[in-house]
Amino acid sequence: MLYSIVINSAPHSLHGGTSYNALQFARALLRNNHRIHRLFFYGEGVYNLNAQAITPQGEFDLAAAWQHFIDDNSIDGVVCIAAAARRGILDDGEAKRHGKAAATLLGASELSGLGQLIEATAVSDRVITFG
Amino acid sequence: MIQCDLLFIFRHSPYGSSLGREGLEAALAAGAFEQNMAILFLDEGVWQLLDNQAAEHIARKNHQKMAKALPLFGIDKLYCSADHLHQRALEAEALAMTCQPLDNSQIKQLMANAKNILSF
Repeated sequence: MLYSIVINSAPHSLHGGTSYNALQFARALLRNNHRIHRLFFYGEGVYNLNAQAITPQGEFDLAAAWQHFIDDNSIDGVVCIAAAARRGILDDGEAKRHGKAAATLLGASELSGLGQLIEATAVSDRVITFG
Repeated sequence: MIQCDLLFIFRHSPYGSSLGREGLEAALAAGAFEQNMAILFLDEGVWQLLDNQAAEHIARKNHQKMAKALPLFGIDKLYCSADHLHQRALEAEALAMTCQPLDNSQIKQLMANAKNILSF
């Protein structure tokens, strides 16, 4: 089946385990020969792809794990541009446009609009929301 | 029969978390793309239907105008849980938007018939 996954929760938050569950679910989909149309990071979920987060030694690095998962499997990872801008998750272009010093978005994903979420719901057999 | 392809479920209060506003924004985007959609307000989400929200007192932008714009985006299938209104002593007639209260079997049917569900 063709799946899309919506991630609305941040790592290290009250419901921090939820975004890790999303990654585990996404991995399980591919192991079981399902396909992923898109990962859509929305709301607090944009923090999953914060390039500036430092994971203490010995702890699971969720951002790095998302990046590897997206790169290794050529997944379409989309971060909502409006939700991200509010929370300081910016790519090079957005950082320049808003006069901010640095980009903060992990390279694996791209900023785009809510249309990508709606398109994902229209073409996917299943859409699973985490958070 | 109550039916839609894309069902939005709002179950958070309007200002208690960012999901209130961001769920609305996602619904408006779906309306702009002319999806066959509906919105179902459950649990604390039913508070989003209340009139006279004075969000400026808690330094938040009032998103009730955005909610009232839903019909302008072609989003006119608005449902809520009759039970969840009743539990909070809310009357359907007193809500800011025209919203049809559903019983649990109708809610079950709405969810079962939807092609996809987005929950906020």
